Amino acid sequence: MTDKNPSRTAIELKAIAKVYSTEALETHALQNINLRINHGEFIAIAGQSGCGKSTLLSILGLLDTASSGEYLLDGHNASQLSRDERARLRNKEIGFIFQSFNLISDLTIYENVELPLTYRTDLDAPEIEKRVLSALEVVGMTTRMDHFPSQLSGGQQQRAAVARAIAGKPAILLADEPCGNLDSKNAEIVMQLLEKLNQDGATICMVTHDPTSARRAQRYVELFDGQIVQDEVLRSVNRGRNQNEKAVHEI
Amino acid sequence: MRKLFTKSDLKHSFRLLVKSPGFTLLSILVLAGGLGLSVFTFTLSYTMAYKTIPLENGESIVEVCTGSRLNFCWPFKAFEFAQIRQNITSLENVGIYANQRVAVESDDIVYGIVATRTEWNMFALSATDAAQGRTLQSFDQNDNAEPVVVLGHDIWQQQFNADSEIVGKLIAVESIPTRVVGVMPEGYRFPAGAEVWLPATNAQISPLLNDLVTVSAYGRLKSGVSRAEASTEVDNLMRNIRQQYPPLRESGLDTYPQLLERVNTGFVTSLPMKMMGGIDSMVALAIMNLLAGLVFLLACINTSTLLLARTNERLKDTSIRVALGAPRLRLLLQTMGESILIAVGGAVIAVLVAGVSLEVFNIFISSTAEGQAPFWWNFAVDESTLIAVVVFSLFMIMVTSAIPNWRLINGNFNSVMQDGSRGAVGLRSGRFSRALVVIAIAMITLLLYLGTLGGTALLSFNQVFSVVDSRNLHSATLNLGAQYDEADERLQFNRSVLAALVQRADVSEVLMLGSVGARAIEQEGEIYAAPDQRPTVPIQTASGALDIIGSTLLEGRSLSALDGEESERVAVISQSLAERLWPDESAIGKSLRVSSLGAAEEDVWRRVVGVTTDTPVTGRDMFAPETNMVYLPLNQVDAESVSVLIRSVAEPGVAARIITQTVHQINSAVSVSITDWAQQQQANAQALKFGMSVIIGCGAFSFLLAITGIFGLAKNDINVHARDIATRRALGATDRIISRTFVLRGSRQVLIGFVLAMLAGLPFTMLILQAMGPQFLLTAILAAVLVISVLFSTVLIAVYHPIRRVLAMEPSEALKYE
Ligand SMILES: Nc1ncnc2c1ncn2[C@@H]1O[C@H](COP(=O)(O)OP(=O)(O)O)[C@@H](O)[C@H]1O
Ligand SMILES: [Mg+2]
Repeated sequence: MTDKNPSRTAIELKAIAKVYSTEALETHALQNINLRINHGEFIAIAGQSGCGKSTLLSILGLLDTASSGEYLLDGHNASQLSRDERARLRNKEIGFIFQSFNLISDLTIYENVELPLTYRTDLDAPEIEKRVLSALEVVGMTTRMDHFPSQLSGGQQQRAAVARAIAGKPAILLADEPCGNLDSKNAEIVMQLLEKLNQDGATICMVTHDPTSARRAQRYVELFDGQIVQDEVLRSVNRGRNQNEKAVHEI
Repeated sequence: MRKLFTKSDLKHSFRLLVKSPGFTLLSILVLAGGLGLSVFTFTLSYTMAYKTIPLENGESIVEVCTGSRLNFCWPFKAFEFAQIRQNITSLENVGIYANQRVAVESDDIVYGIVATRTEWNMFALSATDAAQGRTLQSFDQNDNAEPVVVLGHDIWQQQFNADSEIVGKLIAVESIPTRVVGVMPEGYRFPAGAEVWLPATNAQISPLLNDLVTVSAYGRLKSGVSRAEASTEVDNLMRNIRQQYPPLRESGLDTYPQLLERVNTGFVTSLPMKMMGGIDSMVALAIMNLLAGLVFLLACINTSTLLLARTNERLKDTSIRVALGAPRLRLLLQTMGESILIAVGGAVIAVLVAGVSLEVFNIFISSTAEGQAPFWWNFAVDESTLIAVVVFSLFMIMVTSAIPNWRLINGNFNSVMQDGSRGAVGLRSGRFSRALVVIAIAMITLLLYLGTLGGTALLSFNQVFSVVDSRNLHSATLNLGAQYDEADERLQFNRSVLAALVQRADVSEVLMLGSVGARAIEQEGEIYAAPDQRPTVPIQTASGALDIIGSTLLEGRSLSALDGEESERVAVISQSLAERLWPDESAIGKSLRVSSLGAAEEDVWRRVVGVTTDTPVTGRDMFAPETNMVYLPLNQVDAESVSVLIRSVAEPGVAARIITQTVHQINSAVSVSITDWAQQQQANAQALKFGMSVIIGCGAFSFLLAITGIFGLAKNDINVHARDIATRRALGATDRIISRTFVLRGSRQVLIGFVLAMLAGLPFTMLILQAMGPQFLLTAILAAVLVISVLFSTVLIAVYHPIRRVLAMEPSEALKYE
């Protein structure tokens, strides 16, 4: 807990709590969450439905603010940032993969992947094109880039969503049940894609309620009633990498 | 058998509506407004042009006309019609009539009143008996019969104080003692706007000479004969007559007598159609209905987008129902239940609104038209209106439910269930609703643009009319009669009247105006290939400056008493005519020649000594002011009829007497008929004010539609894309980027809609430019600029509100919206 090496720690949560107040009742969605995510890690967040996984991921992804606690991104406190600064961080440092893909229906696959890059000011057009094409290449969707989302299968849509998440070369990839809407075959393809990205150095934080998928991660965090009840490193970063490589080749 | 639409379905629809009262109210109001406007204009035009007149066998009563159906119904030359009527076989009860202003005296005051000179069988045709006394009889038309008159109800009430002993009394009509033989029931003004009825003269019924006496004609279609068949017969008879009496002069001026000599066609038409005039007014009515229809369609589209937003909200629910085995048809009807309820609510309110508006319109007509309006102008919601409402409502239900249900019918419910963003629904309905937005914006733009343009045009008429200060203004038309058959005598008489009036202390301004008629004019130095290429311009004679009729001198001098019989021949012309004849230079000092003024004044060059502003009040038609005008000195040219205008501080009744007394002191045999200017002006001003408030009311409503429409559309657009917005934010879009995206999208739609609307509005713009002159182009451009700024600000506001609401949510929350 004393290790403050910024190059090792991507995100650190200190005593995070989230309370939803409705007129009827207060829901303590998260309580006293302490979590440090290191670069290169592949974390699976598991737990029963309603235990707070999505809430945690939203806070990690700056999609939501915690009721209390501290959020450090690369060692900098991000709790007090303005809306625009948070938007800029989401754009540059965080990549999202959603359960329901959330591709924008009236944009083509290429335009969807390009979208977050167009929000940036530090990239010129050729660089954007290069990144979009290489992201599409990684997920194997180059041939479908002129299609609209509605013309693709669920698995293809999710791969496009992965391409969109990685095109900006974010510090961390956040995935909320990325295989939740997919059949087992497509789910496997997406899982392998995530594992491969992790092997290539991406930091991934994935929410899942499926124990088998969770076990394929390198670190396992389990929530229960808004609290972390288990935080276990399943394998070292390097070991995981070799194993996953083997797994990819076996198929 | 399973029922398609059950009571519980209706209850379900009703519950949905009650659950969101704001939405329900807005939809019903928007629909009611649009439908109410349509019903109002429909009833108005239907009653004016198509409805059967409220008389026994009203549908078979026709007006017999010369001319073509596309133009006005013209009267016949009396001599020619006397021959035609003997050969008409398709009509019975044929007769002639002519409306004419006559001087009727009561209590020493002479009123100018619309008299219908007609044959006795007109009362049989209209199947109406007198309320007191009798109607005209055939013996009233005999050569040596006593002069008789039948009074209309209003005249009897107002001018004769509802004297119950009036029948049998003698009153002065055109200074001739005339016996009152009857009073007609209230509301009877057959054939149109008659106030009293006099027997037609021999010169009208059976003239011996083929001169310029004209008559209108009526008749009843024999049973089994259609209007078209009767028209063909009249047309053939008219052609025969023309062969028998070819035009005396082959070409020349388009003056009324010459047109009557040339016309060789005829037809029969209904009284309302005759009243409506030619194709112009039918086109005007059609445009009015078209605009109302446009508003109505827009209201329907507005409501359907509102319903569409709701269908979107319930799409998933619906899909689940489909998945659970609900038949699609039943679901469709269930969703339509909402439209049906809204349509019924809207229709009920619309009928009420239209009914009240029509009643207000009736009151307005009766207060301004002074009983001159045709008797069938009784506007009310009746069966035909109700049928129209039912038709409109069905249309409304079709449009308002067809569009929202588009998704239901075409949607892939399974994919909707699995995931909101997937399936064919997304892309197609996205394009569909965007096209809808553009169409709606185009229609809104067109409405606003046309409204602004039309309103401005009307406003400028209004300004033209208010130029004349009608306070204390009185005028009278002098009818000299047979005793003044020499031009010299007439001139002498006019001069005496003028001198006598000028001397009076209680008269501050006097002007005598004589109406000569339209004449061809020639301008100095211009060569005309043929006589008929000379411009035809109305000619008036005037005793002096024209300020009293609202025309101010711009250049040179006014006419005056110094322009005597022996003086130089001079003219004052209107500004428009000056610009037309001498566009680049001053007209002062130029010369022109006026044809057909009588032997002595023929071929005389007249020097233009003054240019004066246009005088719309002298025009024939209030919506087409006559701007080209030549004024000649009263002393130099003989006019057919002369009117006197005075400004006097005396009471209206007394002022009327001033003119009458002055004239009668000179010659008591001259008849004087008084026109109350203030009253006439007031009626005109009231008509314009009413027209303005109708236009402003419609404008305000279409503005409301514009706002609610664009607002609803933008809101729907943003709601539909709420998830996309959250996604974009998750990907790092700042609030500014999001707002900009939607403002840009809205602006693009506004621009496309604007361009479409301007293209569609082009013919109207051309039309109005033609009517108002090229200087109106600036107004048109300003109107366009105004409209587009209104649209852009509406889009900005419409985007701002829902965007702020969506942005106020944390993206994580917004993403949960499925
Ligand atoms: N916007 C909200 N308002 C109130 N309660 C919420 C809201 N979002 C989530 N919750 C509650 O917070 C808890 C955690 O939700 P969530 O993080 O979505 O769980 P999951 O682990 O299934 O992803 C649940 O009990 C849920 O009902
Ligand atoms: Mg969840």
